[in-house]
Amino acid sequence: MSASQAQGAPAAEGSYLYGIVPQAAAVPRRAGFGPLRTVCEGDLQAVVSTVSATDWAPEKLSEWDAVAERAQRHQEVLQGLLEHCTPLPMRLGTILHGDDQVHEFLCRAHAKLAGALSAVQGRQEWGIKLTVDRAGLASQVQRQDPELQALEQRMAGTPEGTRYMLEKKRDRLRTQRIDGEQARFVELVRGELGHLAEQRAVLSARDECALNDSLLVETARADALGERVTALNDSLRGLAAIELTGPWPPYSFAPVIQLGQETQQVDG
Amino acid sequence: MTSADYSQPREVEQRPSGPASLPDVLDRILDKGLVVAGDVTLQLLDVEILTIKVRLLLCSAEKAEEMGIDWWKHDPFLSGQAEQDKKLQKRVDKLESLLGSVANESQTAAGGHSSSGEGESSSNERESGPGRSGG
Repeated sequence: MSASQAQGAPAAEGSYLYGIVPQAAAVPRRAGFGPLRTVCEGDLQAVVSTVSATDWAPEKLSEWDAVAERAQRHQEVLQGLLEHCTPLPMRLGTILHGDDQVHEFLCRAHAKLAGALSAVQGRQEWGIKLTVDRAGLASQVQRQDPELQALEQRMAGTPEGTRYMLEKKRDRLRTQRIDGEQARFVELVRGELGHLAEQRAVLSARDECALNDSLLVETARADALGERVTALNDSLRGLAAIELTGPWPPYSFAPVIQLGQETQQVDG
Repeated sequence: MTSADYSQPREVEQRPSGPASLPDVLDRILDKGLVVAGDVTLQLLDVEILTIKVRLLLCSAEKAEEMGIDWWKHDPFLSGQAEQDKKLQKRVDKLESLLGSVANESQTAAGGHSSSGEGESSSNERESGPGRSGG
């Protein structure tokens, strides 16, 4: 037990838990934060590797680079698992004291984990982002909107002060019209792609995107989704573009399952 | 056929990182937060869940932008500044449309009763209106 007391402070290690896969699923021999291994309980397999606790100390995680690098490795492991079946991803930084604790977690949260895992089985997450060419839309509404054209005509030949005000009014109206068109695109895309999906998650907003969603899609329908996106992109005539990313492990559809705290009386 | 005996490693080496561009990865992975365990050896189950967004933004918002992450700008909680800007923008819009309608009226007044030439006095009257209610 006290084998590691030579240095005074014991080298703290933990079992990093990437995600859960069904018992029968193949786990690739790939290293994440360390070589992968599995901890099994019933029909569940937890995919873990050993990490040093000091690597995950809060001070180590207060830089974007450090977090991004870890997020990418976490992603790589889960992406590898996705080649064989859909894993239930755990949150970044899920570390338990050791494999015994992982096993205990599998037992304690078995019902929740098994339920969540079967809810994503045979499904994948696909990202859809919509970027809108607002400059292109601006010239389209300017050409087609009668109210905007009327304003434009009024502007011609008015004195400078009034003209300034009319310009402001036109700009405001044009922005409204562009926003309206953009909202219409968003609705169109959500409607058209939504019925291929079982669930939709709205991800963080982004400057350049009118829409940044994730869809949970049956693996068998992935091709249909891709074809639908291509067709939609054609119909948007360059005024907007849908970018499809995936398949992803179902990050956006995995419930947060508490690691513990309920069962503290585990004295040996 | 025989010259093809050195198998190219292109398929074997293919990394499974799949669709992942960094902002897309972070969108998904950090969305659920990051589990930060204080000290795994002492308090193994006492995990602290931090909102990664706040924590990292305190460190560097510029860095986040560099990495293509800008959700914090859209988060009303994280971007008090944006909220402020919006309010100001609304007030500016309101003032401008008010001014616009004043200018319109004075123009139509000037156009309609060109003989009277009293366009200026009518706009003076309007200016005193908001002044009174403000004071």
